[in-house]
Amino acid sequence: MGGYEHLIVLAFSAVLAYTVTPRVAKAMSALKHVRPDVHKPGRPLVPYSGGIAIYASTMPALLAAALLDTSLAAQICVLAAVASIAFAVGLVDDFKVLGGRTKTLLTLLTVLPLVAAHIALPSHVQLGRPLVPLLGRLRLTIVYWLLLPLVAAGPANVVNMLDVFNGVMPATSLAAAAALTVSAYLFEPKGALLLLPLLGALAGYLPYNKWPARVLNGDSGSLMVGAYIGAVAALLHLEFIAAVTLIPHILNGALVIVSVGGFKEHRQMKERPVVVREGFKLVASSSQTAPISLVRLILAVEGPLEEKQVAARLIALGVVSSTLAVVSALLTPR
Amino acid sequence: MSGLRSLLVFGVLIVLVWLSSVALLYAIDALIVAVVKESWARTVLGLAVFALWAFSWFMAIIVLSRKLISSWARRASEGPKT
Repeated sequence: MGGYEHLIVLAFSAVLAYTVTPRVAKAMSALKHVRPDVHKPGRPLVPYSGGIAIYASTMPALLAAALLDTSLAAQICVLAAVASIAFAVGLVDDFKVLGGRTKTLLTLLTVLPLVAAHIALPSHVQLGRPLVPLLGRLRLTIVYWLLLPLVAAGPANVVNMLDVFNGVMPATSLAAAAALTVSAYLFEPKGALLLLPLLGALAGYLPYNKWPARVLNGDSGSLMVGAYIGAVAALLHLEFIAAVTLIPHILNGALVIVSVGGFKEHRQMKERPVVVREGFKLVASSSQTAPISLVRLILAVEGPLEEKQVAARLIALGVVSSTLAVVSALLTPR
Repeated sequence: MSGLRSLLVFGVLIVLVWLSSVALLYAIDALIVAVVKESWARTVLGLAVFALWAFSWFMAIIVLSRKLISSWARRASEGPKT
């Protein structure tokens, strides 16, 4: 299999996302499925559920990948099933708000295709052999299965929780997917084909979601992208590397969950971690009882910032962790 | 440079978490996997060490967060210096 198949899949999903996203945005506007962009003057209404465009670009590219390399068909089916479950949960939440706990529990269903494929097709889908720096391939017989429910649901939820400003979710996920793709080329070049549909879709979608956003991702986008990253990491044994790329997301998720006392929708929170002041500058809440989030801590360190500046810092942290993920891959014996 | 303060603080934090996670894996391999035979006891021991590592980091980050927020609240209540 030559490299040109990889380029075809990457270009196909990127072009598809770039073409489909404005049409999805237009359709959402026509349906009046819009949300206020709360950090901008006048709180403009922006089309919601841009995740539909990411999903609609990733799935055909996955199908193309399966046709170009049939040996990956089983893994691609698993990946498509995981992404579809997370997308469906997110889409329901976009249109009919689910509670924080319900949404989190529903994302746990993403583990089912992974387990089913591991049992039914053990020669194609092997789980429990993560690659780690210095030691190489581990053989986790019990621990892995205890932690497996978190493999796709964990990334889905932490990516969702950091989807707070224009451009942050696609840009940080793009950095994570790029780091995983580089790692996949180091260990199993054929497997990198599994990541290219997401990489291309995010690259094609980002111009529409970057500040000032012309479409908002919705949970359909963030849950699907996070679950995809988790599932592909499990399929390619890159769990440690995926965890490193998502350190800012994990840090933010842990802080929010503990400070609000569990899984709560942002609409259920009585206080906000960040306050919008005059001139649409964001300021860290000084209340002792407000939720703690990574954005609140960034603002506490730097003082008032504009949305664009906070987003740039979050993206830079995503690039730092993705760089460390690539270093981890380089330190892993082959 | 002041614009990069948060990048520096959280970038260093991310690097430290990463370095300690690599050290943790190495320590588990050298001190538990190499010494204790494969069993439930080894699983529990490995998970306990991992949980201790995660809990220690978490407590450290919570303490750091509270200090940052208190410091910010104090600065905010003092108002801008003229």
